[in-house]
Amino acid sequence: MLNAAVILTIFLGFWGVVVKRNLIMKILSMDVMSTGVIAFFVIWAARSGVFTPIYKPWRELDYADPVPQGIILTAIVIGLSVQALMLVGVMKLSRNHPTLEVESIEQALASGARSTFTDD
Amino acid sequence: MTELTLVWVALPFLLAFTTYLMPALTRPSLLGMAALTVVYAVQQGGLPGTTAAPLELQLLDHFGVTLRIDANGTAMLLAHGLVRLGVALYLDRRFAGSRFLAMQLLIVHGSANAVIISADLISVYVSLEVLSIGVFLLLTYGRRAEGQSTVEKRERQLWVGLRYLFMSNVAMLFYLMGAILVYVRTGSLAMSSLAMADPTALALIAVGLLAKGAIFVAGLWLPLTIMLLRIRLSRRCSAVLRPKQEPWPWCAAVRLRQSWPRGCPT
Repeated sequence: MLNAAVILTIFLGFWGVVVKRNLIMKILSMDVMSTGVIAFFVIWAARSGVFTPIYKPWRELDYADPVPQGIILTAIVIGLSVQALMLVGVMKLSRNHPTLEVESIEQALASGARSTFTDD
Repeated sequence: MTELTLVWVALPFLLAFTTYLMPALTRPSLLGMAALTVVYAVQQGGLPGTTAAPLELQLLDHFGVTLRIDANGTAMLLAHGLVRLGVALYLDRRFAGSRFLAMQLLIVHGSANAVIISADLISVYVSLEVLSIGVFLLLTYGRRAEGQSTVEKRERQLWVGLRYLFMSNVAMLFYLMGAILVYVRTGSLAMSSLAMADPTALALIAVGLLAKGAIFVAGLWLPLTIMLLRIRLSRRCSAVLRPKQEPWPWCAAVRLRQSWPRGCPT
C-alpha cells in the first residue's frame, strides 16, 4: 500500500513534468518526483525493519537498513541545490516573460533565433 | 600510485577554489591540470596497445566511494585530457579576463574525471550531477564578460541552460530509482553488481543515462543546446556533455580536431 503510494507520487511528479506548461509548476513537479524517489529509498530501507539503525548490543530489534538512508541524503542535497539554481534562472527569465509559459518563451526566443544564426 | 590517484582526483577542485584566491595561478593551473590528466592516463596505459594493471581503490569502508582505473577508463581519460588541453590552449588568452570561466572549466574537468573512474553507482550519480551544474553555469555564462550580449541572447542561453539542467535532473531521478533497485537485489552498489540486477533496475538506469547522454530520446535537448547557444565553447562542451556514454572515447578527440580550425571563440 505504502509502496503503491510512493510509486504514485513519482508518477504524479513525472506527469506534471511532462504536462504542465508553466515553468514554476514544472519545477514543483520535479520536486514532487524527487520527493517520491526519496520516499522510495526510505521504503526499501525499511524492508527489514523500521527501528532507527543505532546498534545497541542489548536490543534485539529489526533495524532499518542505514545504507539507502545515508545515500539519499546526498541526493536530497543535490536536488535542493539544483532546484535553487533553476529558480534563480527562472527569476531572471521572469523579468521579460512574466507568464513563464514554456510555449511563449520558446516562441519569443525562436523568433529572434534567425538573427543569431546569421550574425556571425 | 594510490596517493597520486587521490591527489589527481582532488586537485581540480582545490585548484578551482585556489584560482579565486590567487588569480596568477589561473592559466598555469588549467594547462597544468589538463597536462596532468594526459600524463596520468598515458602512465596508466591509456595509449592503444599498452596495458597496465587496473587500479582499484576502495575509500571509506564497505559502502564508500569506489574508484576503478582500467583500460577502458584510461582511454577515455586520455581523450578527455587531450580535449581539456585543447580547450585550455585555445582559450588561453581569455582566462586573464574571466576567472569564472577558468574555475568552472576546472570543476567540470574534475567531475568528468570522477565520472570516468568511479566504480559505484552513487559516485557516478554525484559526479554526473556536479558535472551538469558546472556545464549549466558554463552554458549560461556565455558572452557576458565581453559585454556583447543583448538581453535576448542572454535569455536564450539561460533558457537552453535551464532546459538542460531540468532534463538531466529528471533523467538522474530515474537513474537513482534504478540504483536502489540494484542495491535491494544484490546488497551492493558496485558497478559489477549490475550483472545480477533486475531487468527493471537495468532499464531505469539505462533510461536515465541515455536520456542524460542525449542518445535515447534523440533530440530531447542536445540539438537546441548546441545550435542555439552560439558560443563556440559549446563545441568544446559537447564532449563533456555526454561523458560516460561516449560510444567510442576517441570520438571526443575527433570532435576537438573538427572544431579546432574555426577561429577564435566569440
